[in-house]
Amino acid sequence: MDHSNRLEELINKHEHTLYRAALAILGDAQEAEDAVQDAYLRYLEKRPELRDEGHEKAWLLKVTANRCKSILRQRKRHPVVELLDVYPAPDGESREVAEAVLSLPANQRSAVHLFYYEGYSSEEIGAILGQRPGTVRSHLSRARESLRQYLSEN
Amino acid sequence: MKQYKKYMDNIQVSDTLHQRLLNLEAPQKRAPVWNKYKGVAAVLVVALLTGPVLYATTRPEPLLPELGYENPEGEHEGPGQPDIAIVEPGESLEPGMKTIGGYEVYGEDRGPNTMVSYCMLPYIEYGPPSGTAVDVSLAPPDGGLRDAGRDDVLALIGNEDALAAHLNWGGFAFSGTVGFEANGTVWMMSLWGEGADAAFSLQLSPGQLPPTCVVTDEQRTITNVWGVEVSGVNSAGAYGDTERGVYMDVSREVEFIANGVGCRLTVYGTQDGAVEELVSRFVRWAILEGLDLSGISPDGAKPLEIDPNYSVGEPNWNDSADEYDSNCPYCVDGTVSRTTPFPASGRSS
Repeated sequence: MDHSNRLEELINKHEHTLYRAALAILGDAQEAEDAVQDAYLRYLEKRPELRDEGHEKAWLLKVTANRCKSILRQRKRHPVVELLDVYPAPDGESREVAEAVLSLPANQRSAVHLFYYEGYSSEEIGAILGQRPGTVRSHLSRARESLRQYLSEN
Repeated sequence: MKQYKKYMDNIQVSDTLHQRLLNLEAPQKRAPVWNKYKGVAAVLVVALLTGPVLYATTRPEPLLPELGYENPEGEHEGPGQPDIAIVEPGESLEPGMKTIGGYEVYGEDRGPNTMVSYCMLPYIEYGPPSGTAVDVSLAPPDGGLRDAGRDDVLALIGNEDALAAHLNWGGFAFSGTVGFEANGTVWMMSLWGEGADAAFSLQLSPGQLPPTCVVTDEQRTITNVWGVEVSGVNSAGAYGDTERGVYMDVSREVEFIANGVGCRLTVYGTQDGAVEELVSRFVRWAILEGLDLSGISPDGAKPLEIDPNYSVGEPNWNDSADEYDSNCPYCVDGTVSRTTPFPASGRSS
């Protein structure tokens, strides 16, 4: 299978996954689209040998996360997260929780998304984000505390 | 977190983005940007600094291993930066970019759960000097000239904490001059920074490399750092101040243009590793955070606005420069302690 067919397959399989992760990290739809596009461009440029579907997903997520990091570093100020205006929640309860998660700092948001939404372990998240597993656990722990506080106050 | 899952499940890639992705083509390889500057460079000299005396020097000693700075020669990736894809060895890419290590930045809370950011420092290749100095005078443009100081450095960097935490310029004294165009924008900024063990000369211009008296007809040694071509020179002279009994015979010089600002930095010190670290810290900041000349005017530097949401440790990423992590299932050398790959499908659809 040539790489353009392969690309289409990867897009169809993983585009939503990458987009959701980028949205979780960046909190901005336009930047998330750019990050996903860059991830697939990187695939076309590097043409890595990916062993199986799990490996493809993890590789693409890692490249997406790295691109998101670069975007975050270049931001001079924290953006106002208006993702909930672009993607409204289906009901009040999920809106409340989404708002709580999106109010976390980017590094905690990404750990929360990959842990609770994608189901990765802290070791796997560390490999994707380029962090020590202990660091990931620390982010998750602080995130849980912040979420608990946010949801009890709101 | 069921509610978070419910929210995220609701989000899909738009048709527009989907089509854009399907229409992607592999990027073409670019010719080095430095080709534009081949040949005779600007034949200008600006006498903006007084006091320090700069000498020629011989090639410095090699990296001292006891300093702990890793020699990346022969390393295909930076220290402890496993990648989860099998790629051609020798490629320098993100992730797996060549580095000289990194440094930690701590949040305010130093307790057991303190926030720590780990910042990677890019490896830069330094080549031999390749230019000839020509003595030519240049009159500054009509906007005039004024002295520069710490306020200008703060306006340039954009963050007071970063001076010490990221650039390692804590305790440095700053001086220099800034020349302006007739419309009040910066034409060229020339700074001198001096600390106990190191000093630097930094020249900046918007949109291009700062004017120089060095004419070169050879290509300099270039390293691609996060997409920016950085030219590096070993042995860019020495700095001495006989009154203070200071002599720094190790130096490195870099030139690059990042985020619309042309930079020429020369760092002086007494140890190769320490000098190269200072250079890499500045290059990292200039490329990833950016330098801001817009707050510098003939009337002075614009005071920094305090961003209550910003802290030194956030949102900078916890870039890990761990030793090779044997728990990483997809590391390049295949030494895998886990046999279970990532799940073929996560919870997302």
